Amino acid sequence: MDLTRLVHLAKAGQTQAVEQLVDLYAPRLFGLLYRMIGSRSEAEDLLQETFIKMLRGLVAYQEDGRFEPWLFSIAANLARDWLRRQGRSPLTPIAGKEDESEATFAFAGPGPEQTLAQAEQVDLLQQAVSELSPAEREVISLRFFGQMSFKEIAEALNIPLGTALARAHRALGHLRQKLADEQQDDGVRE
Amino acid sequence: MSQDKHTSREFEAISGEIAEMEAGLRDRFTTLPPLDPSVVSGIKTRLRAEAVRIESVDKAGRSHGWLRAVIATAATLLLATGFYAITRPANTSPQAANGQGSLEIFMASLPQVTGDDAEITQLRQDLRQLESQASSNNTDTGAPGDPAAQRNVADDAHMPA
Repeated sequence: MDLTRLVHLAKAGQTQAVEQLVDLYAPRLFGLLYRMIGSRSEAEDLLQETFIKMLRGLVAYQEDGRFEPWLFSIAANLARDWLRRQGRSPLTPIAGKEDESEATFAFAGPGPEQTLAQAEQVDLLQQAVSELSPAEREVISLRFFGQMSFKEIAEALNIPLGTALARAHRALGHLRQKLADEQQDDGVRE
Repeated sequence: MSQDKHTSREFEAISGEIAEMEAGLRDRFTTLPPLDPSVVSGIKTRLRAEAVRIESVDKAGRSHGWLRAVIATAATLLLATGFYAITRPANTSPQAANGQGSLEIFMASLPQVTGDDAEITQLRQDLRQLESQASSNNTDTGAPGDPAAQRNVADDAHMPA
C-alpha cells in the first residue's frame, strides 16, 4: 500500500493503518530522537509521544504529500523541548546511565563480537555527536533519518536555507574530523 | 540580482561539499541498534487506547452539537411565534388599532399550556383584570364639568350615526 493511501486510512481512523505507520517509521524516528538526545530510554518515551501527537494531529493534517517532513518535525520538536527542559545542550551521559549503551546493544546484532564492535562504533560516533550544538544535531538528524532535503529542513525549523546548509556543513565537518582523529589514534595504537 | 547569483553559487558549493561529507558518514550515523519489539507493541497498545479516547471525545462533541442545534431551533421558533403574534394582520384591524382587544389577541397567540400550569393561568387572569380595568377607564365619561368628559361628547358628536 502506498504512503498516501496509508495516511488517508489512518486519518479516517483505521487502527490498522496507524499501526502500519508505526512499523514503518518507528526505527527512523527512534534514530532521530536517540541521536538528538543521547538516551535510549528517553528516546523511547519520546517516540511514543511522537506517535500520540501524530494520531491527534492527523485530523487536521492536510494530505499534501508531505507526511514525512511533518512527522519528523513533530519528533524533532519534542526532542528540542526535552533538551530545553533538561537545561543541557550537549549529549553528555546522564548520571547513573553510563552503562546504558551496553544494555542497549545486548539484543542488537547477530553475534556477541559483532554486537560489541557495532556498539563501540555507535558509541564513538555518539560521543562526536554529543560535541555538536543541539541545532547542528537537529539538522543532520533530520537529514539522515528524516531523509529530508535542506529546503524541507529549513521550512520545518523555520530557518533560512543558508543557515540549514551552514549548520549541516559545520556538523559534518566536525564529525568527519573526529572520526579521522580516532582512526589515526587506532593506527598509532596498532 | 548578482547578490542572488552569488548566494546561489555559494549554496551549490556548500551543497557539493555536504554531499561528499554525507557519503562517508551516512551509514555510520544511521547505524543504530534495532528498536526493542516490546517498545513498538507498547506504543501500539497506547495508540489504540488513545484512538478510543479521541473517538469518545468526538462523539460527545457531536451529541452536544446536536443538542445545541435543537435548543437554537426551539428558541428561534418561539421568537418567530411571538413576532408573528404581534405583527399578524388581525392586530391591525380597526378594533386592534385603537388598542381594544389587542391583549386578547396576544393572549390567544400565546402557546397553549397543557395541564395546570398555575403560574400561566394566574398571569392570564391578571392580564384580563388589567384589560377590564383599562376598558372601564376608557368608557368613563367622567363627572359633569370634567374636560375629558366634554371632549368625549364633542368627539362623539362628529361620529357618524
